[in-house]
Amino acid sequence: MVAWTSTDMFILDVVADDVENLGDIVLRLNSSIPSAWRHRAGRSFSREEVVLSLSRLVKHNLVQTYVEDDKEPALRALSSSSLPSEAYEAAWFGITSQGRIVHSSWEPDNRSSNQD
Amino acid sequence: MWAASKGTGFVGRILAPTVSTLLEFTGISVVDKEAKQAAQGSKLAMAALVLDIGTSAIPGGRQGKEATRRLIKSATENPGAWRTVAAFVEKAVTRQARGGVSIQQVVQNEAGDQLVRHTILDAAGEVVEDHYRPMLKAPIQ
Repeated sequence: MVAWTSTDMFILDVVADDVENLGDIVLRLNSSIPSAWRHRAGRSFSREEVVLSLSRLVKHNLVQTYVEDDKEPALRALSSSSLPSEAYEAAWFGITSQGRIVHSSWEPDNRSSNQD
Repeated sequence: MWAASKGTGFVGRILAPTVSTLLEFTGISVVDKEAKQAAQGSKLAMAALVLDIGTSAIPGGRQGKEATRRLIKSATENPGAWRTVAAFVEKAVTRQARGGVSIQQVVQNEAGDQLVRHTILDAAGEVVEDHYRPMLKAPIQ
């Protein structure tokens, strides 16, 4: 069984409602609004650690990778557990049904979520 | 309509009706409650509804990744040039916005290009997220 880090879960939470790109995920984690996960974690999140977590989530099929289509302005899903072949900045990420199960059973720790 | 559905707490009593009223005032064609019921609360089915609307897009003439970026830039910098053609309001799933709402609007420009604007408001009415993304293509069977 995989031990998900708090960063993994925060990212899963960010993509729980819609497909997001890397830039938006990092921005939302580090947002200045009171409910942002950086306040809960007591630290900010780097692009590098977000990429690492995203890769883990994709590999375990909790998150699905989408890429911009070559022919039309639309997003196309890659096959399950496939990481972006191009730069992560060009990819989008959404929660899978498996990810939704993990997310729904997660309750963030109110005292400290910085358990990485 | 979805946003006006019964409910208790901040979302049911205040936020959802407010969002609903806003959508009505802005002339948005909100997918009705029956559509949500047809989807039986399934995220996948709701996504399919969005997708269904997306497939009716008028060909915009621009294609590919560059077009996607241009369209998002256009919608972000000049939202007045885009009108909402459908919207879905539902309870936010994210723990960050517990008690809040998730709003997906399908917006369209004059050329018929479509994007999805996604907004999340938390229980306090604070904007957790507000961004544009391309439509999702139907998976190849």
